[in-house]
Amino acid sequence: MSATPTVARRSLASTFAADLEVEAQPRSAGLVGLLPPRPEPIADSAGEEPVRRAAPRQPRATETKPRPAAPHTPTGPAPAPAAADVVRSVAVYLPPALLDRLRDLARTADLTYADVLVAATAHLDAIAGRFQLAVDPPVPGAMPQRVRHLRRDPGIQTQLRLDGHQVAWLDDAARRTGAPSRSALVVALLENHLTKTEATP
Amino acid sequence: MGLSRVVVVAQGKGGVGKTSLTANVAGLAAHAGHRVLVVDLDQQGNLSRDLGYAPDDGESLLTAIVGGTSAPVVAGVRPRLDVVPGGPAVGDLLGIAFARAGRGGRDLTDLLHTALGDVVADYDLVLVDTPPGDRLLVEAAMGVASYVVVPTRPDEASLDGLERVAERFATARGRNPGLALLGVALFAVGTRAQRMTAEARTTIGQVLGDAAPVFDAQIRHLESAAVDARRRGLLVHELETAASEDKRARLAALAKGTPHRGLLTRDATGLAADYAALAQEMLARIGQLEATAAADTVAHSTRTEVKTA
Repeated sequence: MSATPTVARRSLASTFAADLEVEAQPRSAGLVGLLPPRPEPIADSAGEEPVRRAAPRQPRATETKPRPAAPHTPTGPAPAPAAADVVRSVAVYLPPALLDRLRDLARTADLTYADVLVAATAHLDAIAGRFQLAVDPPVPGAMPQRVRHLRRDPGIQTQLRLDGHQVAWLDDAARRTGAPSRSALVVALLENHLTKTEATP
Repeated sequence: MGLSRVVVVAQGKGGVGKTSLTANVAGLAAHAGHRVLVVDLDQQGNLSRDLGYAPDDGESLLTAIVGGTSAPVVAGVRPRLDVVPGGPAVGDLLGIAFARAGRGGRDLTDLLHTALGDVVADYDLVLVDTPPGDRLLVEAAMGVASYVVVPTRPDEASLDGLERVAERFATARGRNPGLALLGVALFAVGTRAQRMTAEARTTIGQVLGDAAPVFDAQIRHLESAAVDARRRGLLVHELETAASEDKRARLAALAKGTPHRGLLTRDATGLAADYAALAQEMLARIGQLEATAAADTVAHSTRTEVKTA
């Protein structure tokens, strides 16, 4: 008797495999690098509007902060400003209650947050000891006592418009005072300044 | 003038996926390494559920806009993803802004530009979720944005909503001529309603003409995923992973004979792929429009120089 012919069958192992793993590549893989670098904002009054804009922006009487006109250079690009003169947004993290006080002062005094911070920096000496890591021991020669710093909540990100000189000043002051971060220094300066301001009749 | 890389998500009809689209595209873009900000201008504040952060009362945002200061930012909702939270107080915005404008104060578009202008500069992409019915607020948002994207369900009521968006778009463009429609995205598409979807796509395509595309990617309807995502504050691509892990836990519980109360969603793979595809199309379209604008600017400058010379 001849052997029963066998039928070649394809493997079904992969179909009935115990678990189908989610693809190792994350869902966002196709978006990596998809956005080009952020385009530079075009100055409002540069006079070089893109062609496709049909209507010019109407000036409004209620504008309180007119932008200076950018210099018009008929040939060649305008010279780039020095990096230290460029004003940019600098993020600091402020506790919600401090932000509320800062906002109130800025509104009533018609100041920017950066203005208030500049005023606050006049009293840097008053907060210099706040970031001390240890205090001298009560008995000379003994181990210094560790200063415990309260852990704060993460805070609300707040943008300050500062130029390079101001940012450099803050970083240097943070280093000199031992502040753990630029934000911590700004918080200390503002708390000290706002407390003084609010106490003044 | 519009703030660059700011995308307003708008629809005249509610419940068509504005918040879901905003949250998931933002989350995917941040996951891909871009710095992303989401602005919640909806007094319902539903973004908090989609992204899983504590709901806000909206007072900080209201105060910032009305007071002419920078909008508050809650950082680190996800890595590289920050939020300007909305809430019920945002509902008072129109009344206050209207009253002040009547006394010679700045209008809502101006106030919004001040609140967002400095904040958005640090981000590669900003998505703004808007309420469906608040015409003036949506127009103000469009007045400060670069792009608008419109999610829509493939039904007649949603297509009516698209017409309302167009009216607001036209008004906003009067002050923001650079505003561009990024595209229209089909949302909550039934996988078996292929003919209805195709007809809706054709209708929208005819309505839009060459102005903007109907995105190829469409977001399928998966009710269980929508419930699970909002209940747990997960984005869909996170839910995809969670569903896979939940399946393992479910099988283990089954083997032991113990009960298992986990996700409603069995498999979010398809929905996650839909959002990834849509996000990819949106970001590619932004790149394309910026390249076109840059080329137009160079051409205009060249013509200006030739005239001057």
